[in-house]
Amino acid sequence: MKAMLIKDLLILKSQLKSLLAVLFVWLIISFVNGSGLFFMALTVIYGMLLPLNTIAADEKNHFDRYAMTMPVTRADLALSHYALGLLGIAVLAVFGVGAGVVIGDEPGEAVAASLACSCVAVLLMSVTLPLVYKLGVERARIITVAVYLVMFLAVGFMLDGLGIELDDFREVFFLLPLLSLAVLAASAGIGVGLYRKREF
Amino acid sequence: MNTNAIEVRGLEKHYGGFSLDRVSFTLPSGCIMGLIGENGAGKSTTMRLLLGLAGRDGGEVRVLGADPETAEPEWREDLGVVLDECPFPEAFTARDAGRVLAAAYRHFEPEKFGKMCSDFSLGGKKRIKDYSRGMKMKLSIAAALSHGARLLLLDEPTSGLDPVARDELLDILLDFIQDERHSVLISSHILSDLEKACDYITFIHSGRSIFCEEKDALLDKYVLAKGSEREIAGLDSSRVLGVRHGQFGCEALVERSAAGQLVTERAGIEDIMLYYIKGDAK
Repeated sequence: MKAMLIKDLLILKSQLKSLLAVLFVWLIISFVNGSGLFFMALTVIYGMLLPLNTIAADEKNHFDRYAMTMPVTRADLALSHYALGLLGIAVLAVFGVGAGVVIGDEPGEAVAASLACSCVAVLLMSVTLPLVYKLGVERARIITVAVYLVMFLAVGFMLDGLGIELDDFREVFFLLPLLSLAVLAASAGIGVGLYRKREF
Repeated sequence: MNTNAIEVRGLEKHYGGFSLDRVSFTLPSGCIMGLIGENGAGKSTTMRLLLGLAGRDGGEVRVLGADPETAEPEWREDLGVVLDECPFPEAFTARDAGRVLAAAYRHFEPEKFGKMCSDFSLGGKKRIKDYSRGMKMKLSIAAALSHGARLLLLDEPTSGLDPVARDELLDILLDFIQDERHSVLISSHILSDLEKACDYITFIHSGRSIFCEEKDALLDKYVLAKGSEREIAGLDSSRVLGVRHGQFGCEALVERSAAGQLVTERAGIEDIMLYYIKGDAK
């Protein structure tokens, strides 16, 4: 898996300028608004999108086929994208909290908000990666957007229907990381299964 | 110790519009085998099955003594692979590719890789997206040869290379098999290259292995016989592989011993392949 992560990080290194430019624009918007929440939310979502950039680069050159001629298992290949996503979310979450505090957010609130956003990012990544493994980045892109929409609308309608406010979730906030981890584990299992069946 | 690098028996793979049908061949250790056939004949599919990139529908495969479908990942340490296109991301430099290879292979030799990149003029900060096709292929070859592989599986490695680079590659392969534990399976459209370097030739046509023979025996077995329509028609048809009808006479690929008194000339691998493919004309 180490080789696959190094490959992914080298791809991202080549995209560093555009990545920093996007973060800088979001940071300016957050400064203008006087709230770090916008920046924190977008950066962690950006973190979960990083594996899609590297998978797209791999697909272009059929690197995954070549990787399967190396001493790398199919599970390594599947899980390396999850590892990259988690790494991206973690690093950008820390960056987001730092920026939020500098902008003026209360540190405890900033950490809680960043953690909540990170959990949502992990959930979205858990939905996205198996779809990408099954369909490829290009074909999965539209379907993924549709799945996100359905997910958000379903949750919204459910909360509305049950008369639950988001604030009501403060009591069970600790469940969100557990839910994210459970969905992540299930997704990783599906992802590995899809790679095991895949023909290159 | 297994004396065959590759053993393939009755290999089958079925897709919607194409089937690999009971392909069989054996590559002894210490030898170079050329895999020939027209586009779509099944050469790349065979390579993929030998590498375990796809599951076979039938037959037996042993590569370095292991079944590619169930072999441990460590088994691939001994394989050097060149696929039909350069697999490294376009944003990479040759040095970046070396970093990934160093992390993947226990026996990666950075000095050897660096020297090959330098010899192939792949060094510096030039990115793969700016490489020519030949340069990309050279990088793939350098990667395949830099981690102590015992078996090279090369799918069209000479395509895109100029004649000098192709000749260099053939020299590298000949040098590689100086160690009798080393072996090479190479597919190429440039049959003159294979004729120079290979010990064995396996010919796949429409998903079937037509023959797997020692190159010298193959070249010795057939000749091109020239004569009139009547003279060619008089040959033992069971020993004639194919006939070409020209404006001034006929030419047949025929077993040497069956050519009789006809004027003959040496048949190359390309002649043999073309006459097999167009054999219906006989």
